[in-house]
Amino acid sequence: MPKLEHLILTGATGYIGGRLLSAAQAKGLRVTVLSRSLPVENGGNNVRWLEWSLGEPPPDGMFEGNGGEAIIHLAHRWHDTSGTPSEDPNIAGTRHLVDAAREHGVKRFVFASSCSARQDALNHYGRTKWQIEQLLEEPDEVVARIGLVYGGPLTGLWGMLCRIVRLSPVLPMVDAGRPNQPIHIDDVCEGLLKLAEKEELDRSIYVLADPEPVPFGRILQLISSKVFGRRLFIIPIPFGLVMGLLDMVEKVPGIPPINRERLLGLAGIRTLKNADHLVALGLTLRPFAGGLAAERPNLRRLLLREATIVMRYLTRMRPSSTVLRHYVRGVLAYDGGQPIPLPLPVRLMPSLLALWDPVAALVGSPDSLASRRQKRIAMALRLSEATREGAALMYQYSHQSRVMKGAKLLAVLILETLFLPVRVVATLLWR
Amino acid sequence: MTSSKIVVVGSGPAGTAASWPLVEAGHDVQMLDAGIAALPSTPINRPTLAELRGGAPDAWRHLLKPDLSGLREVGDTSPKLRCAANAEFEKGYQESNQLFTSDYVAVGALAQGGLSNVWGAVTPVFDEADLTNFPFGLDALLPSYRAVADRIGISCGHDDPIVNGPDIPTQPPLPLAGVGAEVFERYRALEEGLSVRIARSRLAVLSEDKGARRGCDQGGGCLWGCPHSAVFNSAEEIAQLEQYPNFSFVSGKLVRSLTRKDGGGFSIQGVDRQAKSFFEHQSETVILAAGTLPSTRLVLSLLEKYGEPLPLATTPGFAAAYCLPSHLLRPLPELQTGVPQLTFRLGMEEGENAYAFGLMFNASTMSLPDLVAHLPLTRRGGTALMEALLPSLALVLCNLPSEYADCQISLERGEKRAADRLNVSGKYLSNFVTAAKNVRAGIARDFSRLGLYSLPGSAHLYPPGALNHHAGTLPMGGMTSKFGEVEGAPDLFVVDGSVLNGLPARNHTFTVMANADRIGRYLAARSAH
Repeated sequence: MPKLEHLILTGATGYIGGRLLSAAQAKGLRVTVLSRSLPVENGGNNVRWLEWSLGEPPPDGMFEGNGGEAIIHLAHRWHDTSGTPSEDPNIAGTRHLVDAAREHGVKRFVFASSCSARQDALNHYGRTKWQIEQLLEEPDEVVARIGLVYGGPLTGLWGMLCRIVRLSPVLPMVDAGRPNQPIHIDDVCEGLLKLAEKEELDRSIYVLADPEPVPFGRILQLISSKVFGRRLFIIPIPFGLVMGLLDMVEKVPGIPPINRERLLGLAGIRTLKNADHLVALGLTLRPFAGGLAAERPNLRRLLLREATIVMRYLTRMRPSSTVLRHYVRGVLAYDGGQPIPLPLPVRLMPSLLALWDPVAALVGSPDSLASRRQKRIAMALRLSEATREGAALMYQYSHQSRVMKGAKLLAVLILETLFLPVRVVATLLWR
Repeated sequence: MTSSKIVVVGSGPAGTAASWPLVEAGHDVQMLDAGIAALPSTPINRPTLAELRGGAPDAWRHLLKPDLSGLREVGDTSPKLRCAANAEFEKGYQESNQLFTSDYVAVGALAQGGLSNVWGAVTPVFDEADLTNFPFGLDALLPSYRAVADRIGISCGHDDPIVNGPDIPTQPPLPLAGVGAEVFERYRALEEGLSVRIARSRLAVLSEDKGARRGCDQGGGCLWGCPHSAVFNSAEEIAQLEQYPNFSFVSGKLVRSLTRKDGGGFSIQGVDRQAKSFFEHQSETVILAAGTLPSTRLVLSLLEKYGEPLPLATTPGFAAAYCLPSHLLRPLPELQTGVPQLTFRLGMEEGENAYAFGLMFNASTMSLPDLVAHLPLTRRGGTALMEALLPSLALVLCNLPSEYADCQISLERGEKRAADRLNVSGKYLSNFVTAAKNVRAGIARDFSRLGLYSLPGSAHLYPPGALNHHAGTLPMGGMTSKFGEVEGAPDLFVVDGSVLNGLPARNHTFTVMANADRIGRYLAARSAH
C-alpha cells in the first residue's frame, strides 16, 4: 500500500472527530472533511471542507484517486428511531460512502463502530452500528469498535459524565455494575490513524478499548476523584426498576415518550476480549487511572508534597531533591500517576503516617484507597532502599551494641502493638 | 520471503542447546527470536551489594535501574523480575503469544535469552526415578547433561547425589557464607536422624573464569543481575553461535503460526515487531523452543486440535522464612552469593519417588522491602524488625511434584482472521494443602534440630504457574516422538519444556537443555545422511 497521504474524514465536528482532525494534521496528512456545515474559514493548513450530509451521495471531487488515501467514517446521525432499519440514514449513508470508496480505489475504509455493536443490542444505536459493520466485506474495510472515550474537550459523552459527577456527592445510578471498557481520546485517534495507515490488517474488527473493563459506577467515581479530587458515592438502582418506572410514567396522559436509547445502550454492553487487537495494532493504551489523572492540574506539585511526607515517615529525614524527583517519576510511570490523599495530621507530622499505614491483609480491592496507599508506601520503601539513609535503616554491615538494639526493638514492638488496632480500623474504613 | 534448512524458534536455553550440536556439525541453522533486543547487561564495574547499600554514589542506578523500573510492583512472582529486568521485559508476553489464563500465572519474556535472564540457575540432574515416565533412561541423557555442563559451566559440591542427582563434572562449588554456611556446617555434624538431606547447590554459576565470563566474586547483588556473566544466560550464547558462518540470528520476529507445505517443509508466519509488519519464512525443518505455552500453541494450531483439554504439568510450591537465632544482630557478611546457598530434598509419604525439593537463600541478599510487605506491621516498624532479623534469616523456596496440581490447556479457534488462542487454567488438587503442610512440618522438625526455626506466619503459597515451572503438554512417546518430533507433522521438533514427561519437584531447566542437546545431536546425525 502506498504511503497514506490523503485522509477523508466524516464527523470531524464531533468530540472524537475534532481531536482526530488535529492529530491527522499534526502528522502532516492532507485531510478532506465531509461535513453538514462549513466553517467560516474554509481550507488552509492542508484541510479542505466539503458540504455533505449522511444519506447523500458523496460530493464530486472528493477522491484524489491516486491510491494513497483512506476514509475514516465517524459521522453518526442521532435521529428519530421509530422508523424501520432500512430507512436509517446512517446505514444508507454509509453504504453510499462504501460504494464510492470501492469505485475510486480507496485503499482503506475505517468505520468507527462501538463496543455496543451487536445484532441483538438492546438499543437502536448498537443494532444500527452492527448492521453497518455488515456492509464492510472487502479486506481493506475495517471496523473499529470504540469503547467509552474519556479525556480532552468536555463535550460528547465524556463532557456529560464530567457534568454528572459534579451534580452531587451522592448519585443514584442505573446499572452501576455494568462493565465498560474505557479508552483515552488520544489513544482512539492514534488507533484510528494506525488502522488507516497500516499496511496489512490481520482481522476485520479491532476493538479500541481497555481490555480491563471497569464497572460504570466505578468509572464515575474515578472521574470524580482523579479529575476533580472529590469523592463520589453511588447508589445503585436496578435497571429493571428504572425501566418499570419509565413504563409507568409514560402511561400518564400528556407525558411524551421518553428516549431510552442511552439507558439501553449502557445496559446491553458486554466485555470484549481485545488485548491481542492492541498488540496487533501496536497500540499501547494509557492506563485508565493515569489517563484520568493526567487530566488534572497541579499534579506535580501535589506529588512533590506527598513525596516529602512519605519519605520523611520512612526515614525521619528530609529527602533530597533527587529522591523527590524519583518519587514523582515513579508514581507517574509505575503507580497510577496520581497523589494519594493524606489526612491533615499526617501532613503536619509525617511520623503519624504510621497510624494510617494499612494492614496489608485487609486492604480489599486494588482500587480501594487503603490498597493504593499501601502500594504507594511500598514503592516509597523501595525508593528508600536505594538511598544511603534508607539503606542504613535496613542493612547493618558493622557491629552494633546488642543492648541498644534490643531496647530499640522492644520499643518498636510495643508501639506496633499499640498502633495495630488503630491501623486495622483505618484500613477497614478506607477499603 | 526467506527460505532455510533448519529454523529454531526461540533464543532461550532450549533453543541454544538444540542449536549447538547442529551448528557445530555444519548444518545451516537460522534462529528466530521474538525479542527485539537483549536486556541491558549489568555494568561490569557495579559495586558489591554491601558497597551499594553503604552509600556508593548513584546506587539507585543499579538497584532501581536508570528508568526507575525497580520501583514498580510485579505481583506474586520472582523478585528478580522487578530488580533485574525492566518493565518492558515481560510486557506483552501473554498478548503476543495469544495466551489466555484463568487462575494461572504465565510469566515469560519477549527478550533475547528469555527467562534465563532472570532464572535462579539451579541445575540438578534428573535421576532414573525422575525419568520413569520418559521413553528413555538416564544413559540416553547423561552424555547431554555432561556436554551442556561442559559448555555453560556448572559449579557444585558433589555432596549428595540424592539431592542434586547423578554426578557430572563441574567447577568447584561457590563458597557459603552467613546463615547458609552455618546451617551446612551443623548439618554435616549431625547427619544421622534427619529425613531432610541438604547439599551445596548445583548451579549454572561459574566459580572460576571461563572464556569471557568471570567467576563469581560473591558481590552478592545477584538479584539485580550479574556484572560478571557468571550466571548462565543464553542471550550471551547468541554472539558465540554467530561466529559460525552457518548460523544466523534474526531478532524481533514473533512467530504466530505454522503451516505445513505440500511436498514437505513449513511456512512460518508472524509479526516483525520492529517493522510492525507481517513476515513469512519457509523452512524444511522447524525446531520449536519458544517455551512450553507458546510452542504448544503453535503445534496445536498446526494440528488443528481445537477444544481438547490437555494436561499441563506444573510444580506447586511455597516460600517460608527460617531464623537461626545464633546469628541475630550479627553484621551482614561483606561477601556472599545471592543464589541459593543450599539445596535440600525431603521424601514425601505419598510415594517412593515423591519428594519435595527446596532451595535456601540468605535473606540478606534479598530486597528488604519485599520481605517487609508481608508483615502486619507499619512499614517503619517492619523495617526495624526485619533489619534485626535479617542476618539470621534464611529464605526457603520449596517445590512439590506436579502430581499435586491439575492444570490444563486447550486451543480455541480465533475469530474471523484472528490467531488461535491458548487457554490455560490451573488449580491445586485438594490434597495439596495437606501435603504442603506435611512437608513444612517435616522441614521444620529437621531444621529445628539444626537450630533453624520457622518464622510464624511467613509461609506463602504461590498460585499455580507463579514459579514458572510448566511443562509436559506434548510428552515424548505421546504427542511427540522420543526425539520430540510432532506426531503427524514430520520435521517439526519441539525441544523445550513442552516435551518433558511430567515434572518432579526438582528444577527442570537443565534437563530441558540436556534433552534439547540430545535432540539436536540426533537431528545432526540424521540430516548428515
